[in-house]
Parts: sequence; C-alpha cells; structure tokens
Amino acid sequence: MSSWIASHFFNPAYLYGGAALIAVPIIIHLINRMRYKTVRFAAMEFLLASEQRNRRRLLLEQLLLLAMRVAMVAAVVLLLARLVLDPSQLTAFQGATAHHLVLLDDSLSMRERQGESVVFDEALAVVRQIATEGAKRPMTQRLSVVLLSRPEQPLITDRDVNQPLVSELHTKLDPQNIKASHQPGNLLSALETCRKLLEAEKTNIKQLHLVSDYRQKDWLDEKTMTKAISSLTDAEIGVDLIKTARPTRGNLAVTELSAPTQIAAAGVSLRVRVGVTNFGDQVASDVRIALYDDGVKLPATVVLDKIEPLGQATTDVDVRLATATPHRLEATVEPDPLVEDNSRFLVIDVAPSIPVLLIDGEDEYPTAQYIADALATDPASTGVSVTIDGIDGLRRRQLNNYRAVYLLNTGELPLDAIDAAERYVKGGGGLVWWLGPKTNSSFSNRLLYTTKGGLFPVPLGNGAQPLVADETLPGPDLAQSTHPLFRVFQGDENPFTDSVHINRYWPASDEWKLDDSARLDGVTTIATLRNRAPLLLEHLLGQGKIVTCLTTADPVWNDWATNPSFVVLQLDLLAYVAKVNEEMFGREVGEAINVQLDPSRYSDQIELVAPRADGSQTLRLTAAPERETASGTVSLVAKLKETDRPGFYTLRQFPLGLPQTETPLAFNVAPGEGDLRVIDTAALRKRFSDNSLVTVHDVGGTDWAQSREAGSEIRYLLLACLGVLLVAEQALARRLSFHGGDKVPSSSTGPGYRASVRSREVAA
Amino acid sequence: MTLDSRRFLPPDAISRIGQLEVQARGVVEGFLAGMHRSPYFGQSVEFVQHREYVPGDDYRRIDWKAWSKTDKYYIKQYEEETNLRTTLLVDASESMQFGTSTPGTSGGARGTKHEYACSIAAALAYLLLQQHDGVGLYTFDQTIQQRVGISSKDNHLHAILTALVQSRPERKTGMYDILAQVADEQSRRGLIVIVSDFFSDRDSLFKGLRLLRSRGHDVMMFHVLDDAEIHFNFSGMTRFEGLEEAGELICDPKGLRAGYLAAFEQFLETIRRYAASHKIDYQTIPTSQKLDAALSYYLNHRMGMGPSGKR
Repeated sequence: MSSWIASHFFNPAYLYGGAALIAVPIIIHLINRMRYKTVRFAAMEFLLASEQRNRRRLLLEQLLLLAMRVAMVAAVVLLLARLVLDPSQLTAFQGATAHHLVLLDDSLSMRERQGESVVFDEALAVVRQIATEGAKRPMTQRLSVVLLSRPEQPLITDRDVNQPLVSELHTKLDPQNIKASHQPGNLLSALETCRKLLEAEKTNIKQLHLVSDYRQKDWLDEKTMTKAISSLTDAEIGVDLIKTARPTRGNLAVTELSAPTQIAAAGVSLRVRVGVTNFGDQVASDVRIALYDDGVKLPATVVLDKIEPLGQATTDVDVRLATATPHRLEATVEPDPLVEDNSRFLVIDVAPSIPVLLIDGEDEYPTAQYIADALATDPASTGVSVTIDGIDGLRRRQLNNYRAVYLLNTGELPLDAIDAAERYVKGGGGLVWWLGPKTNSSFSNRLLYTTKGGLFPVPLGNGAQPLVADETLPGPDLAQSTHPLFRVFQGDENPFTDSVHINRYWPASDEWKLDDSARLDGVTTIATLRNRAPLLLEHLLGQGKIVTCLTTADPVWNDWATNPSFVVLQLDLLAYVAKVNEEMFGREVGEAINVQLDPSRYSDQIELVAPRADGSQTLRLTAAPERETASGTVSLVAKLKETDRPGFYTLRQFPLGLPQTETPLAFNVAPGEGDLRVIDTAALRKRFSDNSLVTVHDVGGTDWAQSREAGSEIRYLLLACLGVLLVAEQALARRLSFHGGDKVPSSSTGPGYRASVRSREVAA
Repeated sequence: MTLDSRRFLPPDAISRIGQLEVQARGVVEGFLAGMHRSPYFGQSVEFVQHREYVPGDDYRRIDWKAWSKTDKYYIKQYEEETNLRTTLLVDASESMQFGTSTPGTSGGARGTKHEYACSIAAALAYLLLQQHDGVGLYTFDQTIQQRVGISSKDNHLHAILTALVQSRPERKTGMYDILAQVADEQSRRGLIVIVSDFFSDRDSLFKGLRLLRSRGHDVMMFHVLDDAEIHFNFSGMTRFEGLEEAGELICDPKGLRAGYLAAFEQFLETIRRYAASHKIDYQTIPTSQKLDAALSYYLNHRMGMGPSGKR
C-alpha cells in the first residue's frame, strides 16, 4: 500500500497529514451538534411534528453535506499530495523519500568520441542533471553513484541530494577529473551489486539509473540481461535505462599483435602477426598499420587492403630486432572514434640466441646432427644455438638455460635425468621426443608414461613396426591434422609432406585408444600415419609442452629429414614448444601484476612505471612478507592494480647488492570493447515493454529528469471537482438554510431575549 | 390603581384607545327586537323603520302620527342598545410565558404573550367600562386562577387590573374545563372574549367553544402569537425546551422551518375554520403588532360587520 501511495503521489507525506484533515469536517460537524443555545419554546407541538416528518430527509441532507465537505477536503489533500494516475510519470525525482542509485558505465566503450564530445562526458552530464533535479526537493532524495568498473566502491554513498552535493558532484564528475576506464566492465555483476545495495535500503522508492552507452555486445545475451533487470524490478526497484551513445559510424581496432617471442633472437627476423578488426558496418579499405619498436617507427608499413564489416584481417610482418634486449612493439591504426583500441602493444624479450639442447642416445649423436642442421644451419638467420650432448647431459646441464630440450633415440634414462627433465618441463620448458631403435618400450611404459601425465604421452607397443604398404589405405604416409604445426603445409600448393615416407615407427600399445576425444588423457594427436597409428603427439606437463614423434628424426626409419618440409617443421616445432617468458605475455588492462620476491635476494621496494596521457608515472610500493603455508618459506608479495591504461609498463625490482632489474610489460584493451554498435532504443523498449518499472530514455536531452508537471490532467480534474463541490456545497447549504437566508429576527438576540429564551453553550 | 397595575396601560395607549368608540356589534340578550324583549332598558333609542302592527305588539309603540296619515297601524321600530356584559378570559398558562418582542416598542406591547394578553384585556376592560358596560375577568391555566365578577362601575377597572397583575403563567392549559366553568357561571348571555395562544388540545377547546355558543354567548377569540412562533426564524443549532411539558428537541431550526410553518398554518387554519363555522370572531394578533392598532382594527372590523352580521 505504501509503495502504491509512493508511486502515485508526488508528495506522499502530505497525503498522510491530509488524511487526518479529512476528519476535520466531521469533527466540526460533531462540535456543532454539541454547541447549541437553549430556547424555551411554546409551539413545540408543531416543531416536533415537523421533525417527525423531516427526520429522514434532514439526516440524508446532513450526511450529504458532510460527505461533500469531506470530499472537498479530500480533493484539496489530493491536490496538495499531487495525485498522479500514471506512475510512469514519476520518472526521476517525483516521489517521496527515494533512493536513487546511479550506475555509471565507465567502460572503455564510453570513451567513444561522438562529434565534439565524449560519450562518457555526456553520461557525467546526465548524472549531474539528475542530482541537480533532485536537489530541488531537498530532504526527500538520496543519491548513490556507482561506477561500473568498481561497483563495490561507490563514488557517492547514500547522500541527501542537496546543493552542497550538487556542487561536490560538479567537481567530482567534471570531465577533467574523472575519466572512463579502459576496461570492459561487468554489467551483470554490477547490476547484482546495485540490487543488493538497494535492497538493503528501507526507503519506499528505489530507483536505479543505468547510465550507459548500451552497446550491443553487452546486451547480446538477451535472456541473462532481461533476467538481471527483472531481478531488480522484482525487488520493486524502478529501473531507468538511460542511453548516452548515439549509433556509431564505425571503429577499427588493432585486435591482434603477436609474435613467437620465445624464439626471438637478436638480429633474426621475427614474424609478427598484426590483426585489425573492422567494427563498422561498412567495408574498411587501405587500412594502414604503423609499427613502432621502442617508440621508433619501423620502416615497414603494413596496409590491409580490405576488411569486411565485423571482420578481422591479419597480416604477418617480418621484423628484425637488432639488440638482445626487451623490445616494446606497438601497432597502430589511424585515429577513429575510439582511440584507445587503435594501438596494441607487445613486449618481445629478444635473446642473443635461442639455446636448445639436443640429447642423443647414440654415440656421435647422428640424429642430433640432423636436428642441429635443421635448426641452426645458419645461426644468424635462425638465431638458434644448439648444444648436443649425450644422455648424461640431462643430469649435468642446467636445463632451465635452454628454451627446448630434444630427446633423440634415447634408450633407458637414469632416474635423476628423468626427474630433471620432468622438473624442467613442469617449470615451462619445452621437450621434444624423437624415437628410434634404442627406444625401450618397457622402460618407457614403466617409468616415462603414466596415465596421470608423464614425460611420455603414450604407452608403446612391444616393438617398432614397419608401416606396411596397404592398397586399401591410399594416400601419403604422413596424415597431418589441422594443427598449427602444419599450418604452413596445409593446402594443395604445398605437397612436401605428402612425399614423406615413413617405413618404421613405434606403435602405441593396443589398449591405447586412438581417438583423442574417447581417451581424454590430455594427449592430442598432431599427425597420424596412413594406417591411423599416431605419429606426432602433444601433451602438457605442468607449464611445459611436450611433443612426441613415434619415428626417428634421422633418415633411418623414414626419409623426412631429406624432405624440405623437415627444416620448416623443426623450426616451427621449436617455436611451438620453446619455453616462454610468461612475464612478457600481453595482458589485459585492469589485470593485476602479482609480484613474488625472495626476501633474501630482493629488497621489498617495487616500482611500477605506468603510462599516462602525458608521459609516465612511477608508482612505488613495498611488498609485504607472506609465509607460504605449504613450504613454510617466506616471500615478499605485492599486487599492483594500477594497470588501467593500455601501453607499456615497467616493473622495477631491486636485487640486494645488484643493479635494479626492469621488466617491461604490455597491457592491451580487451579486443571486443571496440565493438561500438549500439542497441536500438526501440528494441530495448520492446524488450522491457511488459515491465512497467523499466523506463528507457533515449540519448540526448534530460527532460525526463526534470520535475515536469506530472499528473496535470488529474490535477485539473480535481480542481474541477473541487469547484463543483464548492458550488454544490453552497447550494445545498443554502437550501438547508444553513447560510443566512431569511433574516433572523433581531429581537431574538436583542436585549429583549428574556428569561424564557436563554442562550448558552454547552461544552463538549 | 397601583403602579404595578398601571403598567398594563401605558398612557399613550390609553389616550389613543380613548378616542375609539367601542361598539359592541351584537347585543347578546334581546338583540332581535320583536322576538325577544330586551331585558335591559337601553339609554339611547334610535329609530330604524316602521312596521305594520301585528297583534301582540305593544300598543304603546304604535305611531299614531302615521295612523293619522295612513289609517293603518304602524309600529316604530328602534334599535335598542343594551348594556354589554363582557367576560374576559385571559390565558395564564405556561405557554403564554413565551415571547421575543421587545417591550415598549410596540405601543404598549409586552415581551411575553401573557403580558400582551393582559394588555389587551386591560384595554378592553377600560373601553367597556368607559361605556358603562359590564366587564368580568377570568385568568386561567388548568384551572381558574383569578375571577372578577361582572360590573360596570368605574372603579371596577382596578379590580380587573389587579387580577391581571396577580396572574402567574405556570401550568398547562385546560380549555374545556375552564370554558365549561365560565359557561356555568355566566348564566346570562354576554360576550366572552378569550385571549390565548390556544396551544392546548384542540378537541377540548372546540368542545368548550361549542358549549359557550350553545349557551348563547357571543365569543371572540384573540389569538395572541409571538413572531417567533409565526415565522419561526430561529437559526443555529438550538435546543428547544417545550413549555408545558411538551418535550425537547435539539435541531437546526432552519431545516425544520418549512415543516413547522406548515403544521402551524394548519393549526391556525383549523381554528379559523372552526371559528368561522361557529360564528365566532377570531383574530390572530402577533405580539409585535401595536396594541391599539390591533384593537381598533378588530373593533372596526366588528362594527363593519354590524347590521349584516346580526345573529
């Protein structure tokens, strides 16, 4: 009931007070009944006869008069309380004590520039306007402002909307002082947070104003979004959907910038992949991409001839990075409505060379020679530096120094060597198996293969088998899959792998299911033989990657090493498995940088150099010691969250007694945020047409927020009713002769009013 | 005459009334000459007409001059005047205590109906005594309060006025018993003047009037009413306490006015009709009306009725 009153009256407080006023005519009536003068009268007989005859009529007339007077008071009360028949007219600040929660979208897409202004600035203006309108009714409106990027930390928490707040908001929400973030924002969780905030409120009227750009991508999941809004309205929270972005012209975004950084070596050409997505509805042509290395524009300019609407075009650029230092690579397209997604950043830690360890099971390392030839025939062009060693090398060498370790035709391995290899792979190292005559299946099945994941992906059969020619199975011996490793060889134009002949191989044991999806042991078949027996397998161990080939690398059981595809495969394989410096991975803005330091080696001071619009900014913080529960060791831990802006960051750490180390990091915006397509207002309205508590406001103009004259039609009706009631009351009262009428004989109140006529008032 | 008794006769009223010639219209006894002999010898004899002699007529009244001229016997007829025996009945019941008129502003009228009635009675008594007519007085409520026998002596006025002054309106009206008693006591026919508001049982009143008429009395009704009773112009919530134990009522009088006036008019109409049908002179006299004006109007009216109104 109270919510109904609140939603139908402009000033519900007046209604409650006015309800008491309705009793006034009744009380006056009763008091009048009790205040009378006494007249001793002779002709009572006729008076009593008249009363007898008119009693019913008089009663009815009196009741009618009383009802009219009550109705008049009620009409006045309704007028003062401002009855509104259509609650939807009470859009913004036209209720009684109300809590308005503004959920302000500050996601990256709000940074879109439309004409002279920015969408986010428009949104700020809307919020300021809401507050200004609310301030016209001080003491009745409360306001909270929540940013989509951090709903749990409201900008304004449950404040009375008055002039000081408006002034504060004008400062706080000045476009100079607050900017949209560079992150996508999670609308669903923000709505949920808002719902909880408002549900905890005791006020009758709760209104959520969602000030956003209403991008299609955010509202794509119609069911989920409708459910989220419904959960608000179910809690009797009115929802204002306030659009601030007009349909956009289109937007180009650099959505991909990647390179096999794990094999980037100084002076060696590195293939960098650049992808641009066209988020507009028109074909984009001649899109120029500029590449910068450490802020210096590279001579190569990439031009994408044509990008289909909502399509992505990619191109590969060979970049030669001369120095063995971390390089900051940036790809940029020309400015468009959303500037922030026009650039993408990549840090490439260029090594002097790519160290690879080849362990050969045979003396003189015949197999390793083939691999070494493939990887580093000309170290200057591949950047790979190969180290060849026997099985003993696994134990002696510090494996972490190598980007990849190849185990070639190894027989039985010492246990500590297995242990070292396992630790290496689990730590992120890359391992490649090539089998051969020395491979011991029983040893392998017993110590290397486990169903829970070991160094070896597959249990081997009893012995190596020849690949028997079978006319029922036509086609090349090597049946490759669509795995990235074979991407180069795919298509009819590249028949090299078709000419590879495999004579002998190690089969998997019979129990091992060939179908990856049936096995579900994490092992992926990259390539098979003609007879569907697995040839190349891939699996993960810890953070490292292991690729296994069930035949020889040297041309003993096959002629692959003599095939031109062998070199390409080996190089791609190295890039595929090579140990990656994860710190250099591209990150999304907003992602925290977790730093964990050994207190015996590092100072607890950390610096983060973050990009800014006008240069950079250095943030200093102190890592806090934290004890690991498992091992009991203490480490210094810090979490750096100030990563909202895309660009290159530099993390500085300070080893004790050593010069500071700098780790460059690249932060990019989420690729999808460039999709600026706006959901149609009509579609949005239609979606919530059956929900009376949801109001959709189109972009432009904040008239709806102004305290417009709601319920004017009912007011005029009430005024008319009041007028009619006044006239009718006067007429009835005159008819009942309660207003003057015939002149009362003056003698009745004159001095001659003798003892027989006494006048007195009887107190109640 | 005491000061108290004088108050019913303001000097200005006396002087104006004094100029009026009271003419009693009907002679109660011996009115129809020839049919009955008037029991009284009137002091003034006025010729009216000649009539042929019929056996039984008084020889002494034969006009011999006419016989000499016409050789027929004619009788000279005179309008005989007789001493009027008037009995004044003044209602002194509680209902007569009501009154809203301002004393002194209406030519001798008094505030209450009783006072007004007393003034009327006094004025009539004065006039009649001036003409040497016999006047008696009764004041009554349920019973007869004061009784003054009929006399035409000059100093009789004092007795009447004293009786009027001594009457106290207190109790209910009991009309029939009073009228019956008066009829019994006034065995000689005369004029009975009743001054009252007649707020009593109608049947009882009519029964009494009928009795008086049957005894040959000429009856005059002065219906004294207050303006408030006639117009009922009360306003505001009022508690009406009935005089004569008539109950009480709290009401807004405006709402009941129309019904009251209708009932009141019906009451007046009933009395008026009854009076007319029984050849009773009836006059409503509001207390706001000037006393002399009321009397002169009435007496003129009665004179005007004169010859045609003979009964």
